[in-house]
Amino acid sequence: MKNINKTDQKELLEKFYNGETSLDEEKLLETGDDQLHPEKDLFRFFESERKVAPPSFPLEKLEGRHSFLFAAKIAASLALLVLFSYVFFNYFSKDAEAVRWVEVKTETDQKIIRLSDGSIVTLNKNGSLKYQEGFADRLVYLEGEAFFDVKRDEASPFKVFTGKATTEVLGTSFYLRWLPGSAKVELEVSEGKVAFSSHDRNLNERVFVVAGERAVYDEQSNTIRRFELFDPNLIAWKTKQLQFEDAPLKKLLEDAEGYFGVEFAFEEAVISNCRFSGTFDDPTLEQLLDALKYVLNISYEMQNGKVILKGSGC
Amino acid sequence: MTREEFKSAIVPLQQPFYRLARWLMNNDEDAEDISQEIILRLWKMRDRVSAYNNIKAFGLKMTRNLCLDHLKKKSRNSVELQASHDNGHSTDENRIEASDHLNLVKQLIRQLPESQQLVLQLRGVEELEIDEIAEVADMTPNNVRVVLSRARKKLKEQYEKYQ
Repeated sequence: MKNINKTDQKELLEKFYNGETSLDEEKLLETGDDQLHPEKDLFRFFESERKVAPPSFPLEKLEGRHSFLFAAKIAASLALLVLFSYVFFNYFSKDAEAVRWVEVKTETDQKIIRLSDGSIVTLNKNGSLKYQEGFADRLVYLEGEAFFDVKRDEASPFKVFTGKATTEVLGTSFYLRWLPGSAKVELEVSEGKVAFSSHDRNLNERVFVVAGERAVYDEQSNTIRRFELFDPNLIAWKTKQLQFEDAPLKKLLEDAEGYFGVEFAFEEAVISNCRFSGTFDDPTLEQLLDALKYVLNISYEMQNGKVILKGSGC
Repeated sequence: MTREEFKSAIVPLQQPFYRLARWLMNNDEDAEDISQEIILRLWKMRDRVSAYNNIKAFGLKMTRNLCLDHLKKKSRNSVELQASHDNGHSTDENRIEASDHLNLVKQLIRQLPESQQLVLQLRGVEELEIDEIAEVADMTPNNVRVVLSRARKKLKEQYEKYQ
């Protein structure tokens, strides 16, 4: 770990200055024996900063704002209330068991959730999946984007609630997206068959969507539309693969924006008439851009995190 | 989250919050107040806090926002003071008298744009992953890499001028 040879070190430094080293690689540079300037001084500076600590936190501040007496009174009345409600519930409803919910949330990372029935949910960033503890009813609430791989159980359908739409399956795999506040729920089926419906009673319609198809529920028009169009890039965040088949450049850039979390800037003329075919496995942004550069004769530069594209169309 | 859980999981995060605030405010006292305030805010939302999968990044983001608020208020109250201060104290790069290398590094970082300073600190001192820095600094991960790269290169370039 400690000694790295000169060529490795040179490569590492280059990556370091391109902002591409991992934390482990930076540790390697930090602990390397060689006298590196100015990197060693930078690391030593950070190390000294890391030692800076605040005076210890006044833990007494972690109390409620009320005096002890007040708190005691509250506690006493709460205890009474709990006692009464306990007696009440035991007396009147023997089976009133509280439903406990489990909620899994994601922020900057994806999470793979293994449910107790054997189904697997891959939840994309900024999402939430909620289900009852024990998961006996095979029912989940989704906010955000997820890919479902549902274990087959003919006796008990698996249901996903998203906004006003319900997706019901016996066992298949599919992708769903609903962003809270959005009027649209998007479904794409990879395998098997899915029943897609609205909670709205007016729409007494269940649409069956099969593998290779997409459907979109629109809350405003209260309709479900089905397409025989499968877009593999909807789940690129899970498959780590971007696929294009004679795709207009505009569509390619939209998919890439979502996948890499970058913004593209270009004039309409740059992209007019350009189409692209190709598949990228776990690509970096640069790999994709280089491919465009060679195939479509487009040049690019990075500016404040934006990718500026230049070219003269195809 | 119980008081005990909070004490062992959240209170120790005051240190990174303090370090960031101290860097941004350039002042120990403000840093202490701000980092305490963030812990107290987390305490008030302790029931929800365990739902966040990265409380450190979340708290650092709160810290940064609170610091920016304070700095805004301060600059509004002391526009004149700063103007005269600037006159008497030109930030001519050549006038830095670094007593040692670490001091030099510090001075050079201070001369970088705020976003570059922030990203350097979060990476170097707090050892955050790119995604986490993106969350704290309100950037895309790619943007973070670009800013980090720019900051490191600039720093090297400046450093070499003083050697």
